[in-house]
Amino acid sequence: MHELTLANNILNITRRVAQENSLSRVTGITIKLGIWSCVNEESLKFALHCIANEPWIKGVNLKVEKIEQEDIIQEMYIESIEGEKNEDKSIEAHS
Amino acid sequence: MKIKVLKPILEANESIADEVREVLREQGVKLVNIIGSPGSGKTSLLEKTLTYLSPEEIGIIEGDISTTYDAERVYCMGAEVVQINTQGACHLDANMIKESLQNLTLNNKKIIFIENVGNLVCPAEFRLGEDLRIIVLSLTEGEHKPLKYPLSFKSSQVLIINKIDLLPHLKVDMKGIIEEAKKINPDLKVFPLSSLSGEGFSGWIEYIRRFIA
Repeated sequence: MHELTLANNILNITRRVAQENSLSRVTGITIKLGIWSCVNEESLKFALHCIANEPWIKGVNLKVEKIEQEDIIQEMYIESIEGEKNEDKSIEAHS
Repeated sequence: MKIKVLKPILEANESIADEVREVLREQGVKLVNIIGSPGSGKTSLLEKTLTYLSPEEIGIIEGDISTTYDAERVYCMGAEVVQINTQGACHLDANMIKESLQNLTLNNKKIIFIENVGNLVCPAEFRLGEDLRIIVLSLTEGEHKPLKYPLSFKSSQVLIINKIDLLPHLKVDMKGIIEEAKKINPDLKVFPLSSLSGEGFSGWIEYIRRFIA
């Protein structure tokens, strides 16, 4: 049930990183989850799909990878984002 | 082009949790996050615990989706209490705690208990700035909760097995619960007790007194 909160956080961080790197469009996001994290991958993809509806991120491909390490208890982070650069069409600061 | 990010998804929550921890450390107040299923006896545990401690040194943050029933119960025991109604959200986050602290007098407190929303999934992912995380499990929930909800048990330091007064009436294997929980988290401190009869409370109270001291 907290997947929407996570999706919202992913969207906010992605927007900030994309702006810092002058991306005009983000096409892919890769996140890493610890094996103990209780995140449902399908719910998270659905949540992100629902809220990522601005042109710069619409249709983004979310890739979820597991961190196969027993001793990592609470870990989930954005590993990387993929996108296109176009100086004339940068992403607006706020949606 | 590909950009390395390496940022925690919950970094916003984590940084507020750090702020909360810092504010309370300065005041010398310990923060305890109590999680558990709905009906596991989180409020009853608090009510009974308050009878052994000095209520004026205790603050309580009650998290519920709606109503103030639980807050009223602990308020009656003499503790200062703040109610958070999450309006449907399944967990508390660090920002809710930060705001609640503004409604609590901190300088006379030794410990603040947070009663999280009854849920074994979502609250486990959100650090609130706590010094201690306690999971409450009642005997009636059966043996397999630790393996079904591993993160909740793995991220807690204390397991309270509540409602042991019901043991004669149940088929449940208490030793099995403890074994399963220890399989997930070998360092877990376990206190089987009854918040109704007070059975088993001495060990738990001694633990929490030492934790505050």
